[in-house]
Amino acid sequence: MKLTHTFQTMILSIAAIAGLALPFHGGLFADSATTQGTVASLKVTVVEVSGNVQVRSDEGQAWQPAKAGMEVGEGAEFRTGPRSSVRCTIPPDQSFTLDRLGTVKVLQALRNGNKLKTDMVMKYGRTKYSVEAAGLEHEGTIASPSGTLAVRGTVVSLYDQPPFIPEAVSYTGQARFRDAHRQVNVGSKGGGKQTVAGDKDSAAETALTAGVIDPKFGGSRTQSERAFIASEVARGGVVSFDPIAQIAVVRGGIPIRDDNQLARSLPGKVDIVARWFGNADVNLEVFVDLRDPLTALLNSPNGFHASEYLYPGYGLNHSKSGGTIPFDHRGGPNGGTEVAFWNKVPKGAIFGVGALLISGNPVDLKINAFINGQKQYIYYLDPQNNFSRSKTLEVTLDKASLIGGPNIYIPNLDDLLGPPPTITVPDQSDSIISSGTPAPQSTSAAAVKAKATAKPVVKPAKLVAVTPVTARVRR
Amino acid sequence: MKSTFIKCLFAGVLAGVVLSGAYGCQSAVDLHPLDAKLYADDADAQLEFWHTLASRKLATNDEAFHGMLLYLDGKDPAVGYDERVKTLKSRKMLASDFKGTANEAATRGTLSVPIVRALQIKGGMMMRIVGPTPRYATRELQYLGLYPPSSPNQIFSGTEFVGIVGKLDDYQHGNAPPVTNRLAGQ
Repeated sequence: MKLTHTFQTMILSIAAIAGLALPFHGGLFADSATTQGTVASLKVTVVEVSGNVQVRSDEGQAWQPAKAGMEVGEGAEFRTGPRSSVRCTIPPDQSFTLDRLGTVKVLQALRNGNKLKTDMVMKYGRTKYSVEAAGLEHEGTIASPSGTLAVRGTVVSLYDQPPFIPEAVSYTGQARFRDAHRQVNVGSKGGGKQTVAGDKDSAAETALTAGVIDPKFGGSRTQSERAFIASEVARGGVVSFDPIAQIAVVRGGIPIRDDNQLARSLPGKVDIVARWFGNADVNLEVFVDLRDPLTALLNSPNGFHASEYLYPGYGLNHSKSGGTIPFDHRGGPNGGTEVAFWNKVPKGAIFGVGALLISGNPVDLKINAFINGQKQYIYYLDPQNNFSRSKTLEVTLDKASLIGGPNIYIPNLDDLLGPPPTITVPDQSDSIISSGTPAPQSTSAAAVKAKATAKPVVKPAKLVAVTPVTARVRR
Repeated sequence: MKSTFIKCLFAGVLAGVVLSGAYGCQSAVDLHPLDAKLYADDADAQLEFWHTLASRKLATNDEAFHGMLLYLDGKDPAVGYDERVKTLKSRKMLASDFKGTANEAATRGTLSVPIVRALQIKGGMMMRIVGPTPRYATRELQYLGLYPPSSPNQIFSGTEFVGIVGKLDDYQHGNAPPVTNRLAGQ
């Protein structure tokens, strides 16, 4: 009896070890069809190096600094220092990034006909692995001391670094995470980012545990903030709370496209709204000079000088004058909306508007300013460096971001300086261009496209010398 | 006979208590410190230091302080442990009465103070009142996810220390564009 029990235990142990070892030998995808052909080793090319990174072609070789363009083969090992990373590609369509303080070894990178097989071993650290599934069959794994992430045509990341709990993340598509206890599918085809922590049974359980109840939600939000956040939820947004940035976070949802509908849903009396329409995370920045525009621009030697700054999170989402950014919209497939608002209209102020593309591809961004639900002019320098105005500012926001360009004035510059004399009259009066006045500042690398047609006028030269501060807080 | 046995037993217990009091609560000591070459300032030595440290069973005060200075300044010009301690004390990153030796295991509490100072973490009510003491600094770092659930007296293994430095990197730059790009820019 005892012998039988021991034998059973032994069989189970062998089965468990074999099960763990399977991913290393492609067992996870044992059912996949294999196209027979010539087996060839693939080269690993270093594409980008940031900070202190070393590579060695195999364990017997000395470490040497990694450089972009370097080619290594199977058995190559990479290691990174603090604030460092290395990105490599395995042709034709795979790439991986080893992040700070980690080490990864490319155990196998083979092509067998239409089948590509890549095995990596990460001792510790964080590795992101990306596979484009077009036309070829992939079997990719990243193994770490805590588990193995198996990939077939997706973008994944594996983090395994004591004393923290390992995490497998699928950004797109489905991957399979396997450790000593179980095997879990992460992500789904066409789905968004999903994370499985090593101590949780599923992505859903991980998300549930990571969910934080906004401690400010109960009492301290104003009615208008609550209503605006609720309107985001009504359009499919998911609200959570970032305890580090100390701000409510909205993800997903659909930005309101109709300006009249937007005006009705706004929370404040003065509202500056940034909307973007693409899968990106954009942050709105507002610089405030609480002085009469004429005093600030014409009589002050320094021109625009921001006394307040608003940014989503880190204690910067509230200002002394009552300015508030109620939440940080971190984007989604349809884009997002961020708003800075005031419940009182100041007697005089200049607002400098900025936008940062935090992540994602270049995206179409729309900026509007409202006072009591009425759209206000936004003044900016167009790509030809002409001082222009528009009630809707449309920008293609790229990595260069939009800083130090658009300004909004209270009272409106037109009210202060009188209506602009018309030189040429296209059909709408949405824009002013100061003919021939050179601009001392550049708006940004982002291409500013005034939506409305132009009506050139001559403006005082001093007016162009608006230099909003360029202090930037990055999240 | 019986009283002799009781006396012996009592003496044994007393000796045990004295010995455990004298040695039992001491910090772990690493008798095989890292090679002095790894404390050099060049990029290769720095990388070698981090990855050798990751394979060690415990991180000593000397290694941890060198690691902290490398992380904070990108270099550690200090010659020897005493100078390292002096540098950290001058920056108020170590308590002025800190007396740990070079080969003693670094505790999570000791390291938490330079970390909260470096990251300019203000902390909760107690930390704001009493300042960044090891107890409250540890708790604050735990709250922020920069430490795992820990006691201030707990020590680090080498790989744990490296993991925590990695987390500091994430905390400082994790959401900022450079690092986001590192991971997203594929």
